[in-house]
Amino acid sequence: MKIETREFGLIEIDETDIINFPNGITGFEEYKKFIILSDESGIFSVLQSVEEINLSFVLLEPLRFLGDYEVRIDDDLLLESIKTTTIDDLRIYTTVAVGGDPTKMTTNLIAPVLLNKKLQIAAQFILNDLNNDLVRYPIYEAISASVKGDTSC
Amino acid sequence: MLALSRKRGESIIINGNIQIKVLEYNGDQIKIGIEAPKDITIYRKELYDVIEEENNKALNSKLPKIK
Repeated sequence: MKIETREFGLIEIDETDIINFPNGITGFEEYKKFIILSDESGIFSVLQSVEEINLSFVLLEPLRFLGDYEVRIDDDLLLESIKTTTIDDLRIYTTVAVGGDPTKMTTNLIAPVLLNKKLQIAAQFILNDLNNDLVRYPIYEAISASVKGDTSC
Repeated sequence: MLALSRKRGESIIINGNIQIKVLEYNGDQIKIGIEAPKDITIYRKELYDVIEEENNKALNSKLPKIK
């Protein structure tokens, strides 16, 4: 099927590419069907609603750039909603906010998107830690360090 | 907004499957117990608002080009 995307225009996708968000995304709970598209950079992905073209988020995988990032979900019920029993089965993404200056881009470490890839179910979980530094975590440095192949940490 | 008065130990039932109970209160703090189906998310509102705001910010972001 063809869908309109904000970043890539009209693209062809398969039904099996569609990820179900039973609870939607925080603030946009009525939209349940998304796809995740890779960008040629290999750094970012795009979470695109298949129901609304303007509902499109830039994502990255924080574990690739932040060695000590940990997602701890104490409440088993949360994991049940995406039909998993362990965090190890999941792919973890965080949203990216970027304005005119890319060096100031931040990522939201408090509300990761967790994807059960096997069942194509996902949800955005809010970790119970209201820390403003983590909601807008500057990520540009870690990304460029990774791109340059810099292994100092 | 529907406003109800409850005493300690009393409950409210929403949609037939969500139960809110006043557990205890101490001065200006009240402890509330919530029972709801597993697929219902429950968050403190100030936390929810911050995430909603940040999602809106992220929504207005375009895919960056990093070389």
